[in-house]
Amino acid sequence: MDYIFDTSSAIVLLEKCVLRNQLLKFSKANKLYVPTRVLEEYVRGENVNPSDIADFKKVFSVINPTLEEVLLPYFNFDESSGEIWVISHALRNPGCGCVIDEEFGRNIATLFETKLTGAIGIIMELKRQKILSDDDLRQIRVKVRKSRFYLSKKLLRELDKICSSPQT
Amino acid sequence: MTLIIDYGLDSPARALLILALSMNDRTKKKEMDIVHIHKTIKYFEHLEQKETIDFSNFKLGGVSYELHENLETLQECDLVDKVGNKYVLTKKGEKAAKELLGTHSEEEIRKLKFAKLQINDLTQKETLFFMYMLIPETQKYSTEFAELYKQRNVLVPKLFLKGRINSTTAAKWSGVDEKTFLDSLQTSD
Repeated sequence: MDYIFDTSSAIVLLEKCVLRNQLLKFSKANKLYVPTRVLEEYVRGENVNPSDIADFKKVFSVINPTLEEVLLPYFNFDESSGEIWVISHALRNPGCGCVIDEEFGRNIATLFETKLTGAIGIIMELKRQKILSDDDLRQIRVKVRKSRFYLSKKLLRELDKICSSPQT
Repeated sequence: MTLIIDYGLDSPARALLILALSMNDRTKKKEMDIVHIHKTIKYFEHLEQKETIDFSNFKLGGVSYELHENLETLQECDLVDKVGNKYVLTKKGEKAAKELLGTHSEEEIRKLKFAKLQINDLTQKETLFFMYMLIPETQKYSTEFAELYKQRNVLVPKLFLKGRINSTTAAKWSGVDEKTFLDSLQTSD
């Protein structure tokens, strides 16, 4: 399956959950894309050093989607956010799923009926494909809880549920 | 097309009123109060970048006498009913909405649906603030904006957490950078 990631989802998985190696493994069988805009947002982040950027580019293929102008009104005619590029790509490539965690972007993806998941959905997929061990899952829970990065309580509850359920 | 011809529903104001009242909001409710009716249709026009309905900037921002008058006409024609302070479609109104769906493009319907999903379940304060910020020219003559703007540190996070704006917009409206805005949220529902 192909996935295209928004910035916050990529940060949660790569930095907060420290899943670089697992995502690299996942990317062998699945195409993981980010639009250039998301890479730009990632690079602007606090304490991002050149090796982080190199890792980011190893995990994600950076692409330049064509902007779907039909989306512009929904983003108040502003193309500066990552989500508009993520959804643009998914609209042109119906097999590709959007990975978005911010509620607003998720609402727009739903409105346009694109495939949609979030960081938690990717963690579930990593677990299903046995790329994540029980120990990895325990560590993820601790790391995310300690992180100051914004995640809604609903997402945290879902993460707790995944991390506490046994591997099948 | 009987109801459309009989009740002049080819008028944009009447068509949009009927269609807006036929759609679910995020809480699966169709009913709308007068403020949310005006703001939903104003938002739709903003999305369309068209001015088919006559709106003026007044105390509560963009409001329309044209919508008000047509809403009264629809009530007189028994297409719309008023229950408490909420407007709802009658059975005849619902039938008219079905006819009207066929006369509007998929994109028009999606935009109107989105406008209602975005604001109909917001409180009046959240709705007014959202619209003032989204369409700044509606701040002119407003009696409410200055007071609401003072409350932006409460209203912007609420709109973000409810998924009505993204973090880029939230940061812009809060006057901080995106990271500062997201850090300020802590972890919440």
